[in-house]
Amino acid sequence: MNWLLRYLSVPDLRRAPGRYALSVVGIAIGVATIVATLGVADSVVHSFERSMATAMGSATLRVGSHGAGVDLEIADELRAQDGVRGAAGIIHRSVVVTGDEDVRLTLIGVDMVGDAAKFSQALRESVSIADEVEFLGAPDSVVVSGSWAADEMLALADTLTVMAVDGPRELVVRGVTRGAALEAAFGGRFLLMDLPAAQLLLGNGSAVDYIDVWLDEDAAVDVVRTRLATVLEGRATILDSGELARRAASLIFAVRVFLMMAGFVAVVVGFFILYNTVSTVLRQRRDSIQLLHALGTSRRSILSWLLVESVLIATLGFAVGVALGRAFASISIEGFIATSGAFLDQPTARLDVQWVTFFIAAVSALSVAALATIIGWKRILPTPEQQVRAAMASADAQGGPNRWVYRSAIGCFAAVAALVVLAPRTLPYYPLVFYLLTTLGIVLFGFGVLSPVIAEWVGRRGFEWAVRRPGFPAVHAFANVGRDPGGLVIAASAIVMAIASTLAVFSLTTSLERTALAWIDQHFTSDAIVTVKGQFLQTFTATSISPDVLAQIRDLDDVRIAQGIRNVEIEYEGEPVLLRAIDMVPAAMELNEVEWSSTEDAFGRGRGVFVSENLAHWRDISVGSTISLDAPAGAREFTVLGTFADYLNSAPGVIVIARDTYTRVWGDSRINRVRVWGRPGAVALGDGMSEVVERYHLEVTPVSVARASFAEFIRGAFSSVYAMVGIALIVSFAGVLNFLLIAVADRIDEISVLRANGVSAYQIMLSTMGEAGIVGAVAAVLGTVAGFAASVIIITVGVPMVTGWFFDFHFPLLPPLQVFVGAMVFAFAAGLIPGVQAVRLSAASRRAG
Amino acid sequence: MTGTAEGIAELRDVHVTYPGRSEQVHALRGLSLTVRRGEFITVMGPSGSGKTTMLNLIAGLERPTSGSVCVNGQNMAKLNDTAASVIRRRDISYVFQFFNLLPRLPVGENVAIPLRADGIGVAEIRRRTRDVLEKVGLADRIDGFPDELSGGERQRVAIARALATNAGLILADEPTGNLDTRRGEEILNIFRDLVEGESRSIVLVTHDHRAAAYGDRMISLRDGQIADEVAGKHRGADVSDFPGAG
Ligand SMILES: Nc1ncnc2c1ncn2[C@@H]1O[C@H](COP(=O)(O)OP(=O)(O)O)[C@@H](O)[C@H]1O
Ligand SMILES: [Mg+2]
Repeated sequence: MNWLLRYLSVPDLRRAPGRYALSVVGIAIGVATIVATLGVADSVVHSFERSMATAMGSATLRVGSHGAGVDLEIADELRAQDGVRGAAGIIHRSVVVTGDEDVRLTLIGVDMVGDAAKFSQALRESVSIADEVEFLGAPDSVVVSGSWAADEMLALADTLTVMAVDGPRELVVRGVTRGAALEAAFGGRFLLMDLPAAQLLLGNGSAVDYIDVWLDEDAAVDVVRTRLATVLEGRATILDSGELARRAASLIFAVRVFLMMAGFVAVVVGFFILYNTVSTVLRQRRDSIQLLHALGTSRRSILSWLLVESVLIATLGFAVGVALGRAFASISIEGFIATSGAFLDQPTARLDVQWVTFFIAAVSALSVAALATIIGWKRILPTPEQQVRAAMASADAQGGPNRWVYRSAIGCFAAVAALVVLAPRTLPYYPLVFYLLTTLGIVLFGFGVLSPVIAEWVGRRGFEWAVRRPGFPAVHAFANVGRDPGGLVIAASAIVMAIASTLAVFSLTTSLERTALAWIDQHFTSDAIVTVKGQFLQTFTATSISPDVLAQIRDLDDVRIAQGIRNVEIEYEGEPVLLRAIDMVPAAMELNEVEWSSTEDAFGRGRGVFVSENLAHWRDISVGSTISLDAPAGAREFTVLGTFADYLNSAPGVIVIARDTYTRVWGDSRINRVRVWGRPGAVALGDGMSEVVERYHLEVTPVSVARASFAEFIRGAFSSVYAMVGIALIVSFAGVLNFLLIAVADRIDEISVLRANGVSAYQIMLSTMGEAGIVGAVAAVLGTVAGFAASVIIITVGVPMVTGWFFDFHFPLLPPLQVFVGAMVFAFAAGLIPGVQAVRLSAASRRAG
Repeated sequence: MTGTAEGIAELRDVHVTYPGRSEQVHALRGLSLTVRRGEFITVMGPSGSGKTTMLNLIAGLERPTSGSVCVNGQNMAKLNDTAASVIRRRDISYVFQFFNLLPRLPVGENVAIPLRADGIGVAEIRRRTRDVLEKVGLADRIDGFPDELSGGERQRVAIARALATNAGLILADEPTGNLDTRRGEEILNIFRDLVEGESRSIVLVTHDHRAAAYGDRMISLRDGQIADEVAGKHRGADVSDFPGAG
């Protein structure tokens, strides 16, 4: 095999380095997309986990769940338990530091003289405070990270402005951290404050975000955990750092599924690029390979040589792809954090690609390489027996021998039907991605398998039609398609897949836009929305605003109604959900199955809540049932009064509660946003509002802008997919072009016969273009049908599983038409090049004699 | 079929050189030949002597490096592709040694290639196709495919195609080379009948001196030039002393 590599591969590489380079690029694109997409999402989740773990110090358990918070007094109760060595309240959430450009940093509030300082090694080692007495005495004291201080040129006694609950507040730098532990965990983006000062800054009252618990060295974790759960009685949840990371991942679940899918689309694209190269190379080497075989080299060793060659290509592509993917990930991670920042409180992340990601990418690259080689081998260099069988099949091929094709297509569609019918409500990340890829893959494969059979049918009917009229090109084109459809499988399947995925994406975005935009019209009924600057899209992670600000807005002359809204993460059956507390105002909420007016009273009195349709779908919650929510004074039960759509929140689901009730039960009167209705006739919200906005570093988003920016958000989320689809289209058409070029090279003898019999160059070109056009048309029609099927599955099964959303199904008619016309034009154009080539080759070629 | 009195095809002092790897290959060096109407010329010569090149030149599939090639009085080198194609489909029929038929077209459509290329009506095509296949004894195979035919049958289909066009000039490059003697003779007899019955002209390249004897004129090529030329005696003539035989 060595000598095959030396005497065939190396000279080929010298002769056509571009072709090998293209294969490497094809594999690299797939690997890079996997590494970048999965890498970015994983890095953010892992950074979150790391920062949580570091903030926990050596604590074993953590009470609370990054949401409504827990009362600090609980720490004393926990500390009194057997097996507990210490317990300390922690504030851990992002804050906005205002300046020329607002930045988000993680604020950590710990009791600098309590258990945290005693047990957290990271804290003890890294914090250096100049004057401890002054630091503890002044509530505006802050410790900044060494690296950030260096970047911002901050020195001791300098000030920085932080968004506090009651507006921007100046803090004084009274310490700087050193050492690597905290720096690494937070990427240098953090502030440290004494716990009471941090509570004050955020308007937390007596609440903290978590209570970290350190256990006695000989204590059994499970036993203590059970004991603590009994003490807590539903006032808070107990977690360890692993669970925290899992929950963080679940908050950006939909995004991760989406990215993973994009990664695999890229792999498929890579496959087609590689397959094209492999088949070209194989055809060019057919003579040498047959000679080798005739001279006694076994087929097996020739195949292993080809496999080694493509594995080498794949390995190189993998290496390039990893480098590319990492580079791309490090560029895009900031953007990803900005997007995921609405849900996940992780202001910064270090790129940290997991070995699983490399493993998935490597397996994809290698299997794609092996598959392309083996398929190419089977197609282009069939064994003599296979050739005989194929000849026999074509001899009596009036529909019979294709039975296996119909069988496998029917098998595919039956499998898909079963998968759809048996679809669970949702699945965990990997199984869900697997389910979606399998289902959609089988759909596309089914249509791909059908494509040569249909092409053959069209070719034969077309031939019957063409022979009944004069002229040569049509007869020839249809005969070629009808009698040799096998060669088209890969080319046609590539088009089918590309067109189908294009249409599926179109359908998905159209359905999402139509459904969501209609929802926006119902949802954004106020004139404007007030949030902290730059936080219009933020839900879980929005800065808290004091109720005083709400009162001031309400008092403005131009404001008719101001509805305060509070968004917090709470626990529902051990998983995070978004609890949204809203003021009762004379504006109806749009509900799915009940009228607002009939539930308004029960809702306002705090007897019941509304549940978003995705949460209801995933957790099987029905209207009228009772749900139990963790609250500071113990778990509380609420009746589910109705469900509603919320296209701003996918993964965790939303529970809506009256804000009076929330304030009473959770002891928290802060808000995150205010919906404002102006006085009738008031053009703008006036100077009063401007003043409030200025004072508290807020932002007023008029409803028209809100709608537009939300629509923009939706479209933006799909831009990367459009790019992928674009690449897929280009690749598949390149595949057709390549197929035709190969076909032309294969048909030199035939073209010579045609030329010798007076068929003009122009007629040969027409025939080649016609052949391309027929293949293109068949594939485009099948692709459209496949795209329709895939769209139905994505929108009625996939979307509810991933996001819990139910869209109205829209299959836009214009895009398929455009794609169809585009495919035809491109196919004809693709036929032009081999057509010209055909004439050139035949002029240069000669009959052997 | 409006050739000059001189000949249906005329090559004058034709040179063909190919750019070879190290030095140029001279395929033809000053070849001159006139093919007269109703004349059966057989061409012999060792492999590489330029026989195929000569036929390709006449068919306009290649161009001479210097000299001129005229068919029916028209200089093939000066015609554009469409005009040359028209001559190929109407006035010339080219029969190769091995590969004459398109595997994906049925026999009837293979015969019809030049007719379709010429835009002839479907009814006319059908009539002529059936007629000529009948002549070569393959009428029942009209809807079959080439891979169902034997070598000799395929060759007869190619000849049927030549008959269908009424081409005045038939070029045949070793058409009997891979047939057994009996089949070969069948085909040579068809050719002979065409020359005698329909006064068509034939240029037949062959390695077989018995086949060569079917011609009116036997030409021997060597190194791209005519090395020798003798008058044939038709059918079964003894040409064992002919240069290039054997
Ligand atoms: N396309 C070509 N390029 C280079 N040399 C060629 C080409 N075609 C033919 N030749 C050379 O021209 C010479 C004559 O070839 P050909 O006419 O095929 O001979 P014949 O048919 O008598 O065997 C040979 O030496 C052959 O190698
Ligand atoms: Mg020859």
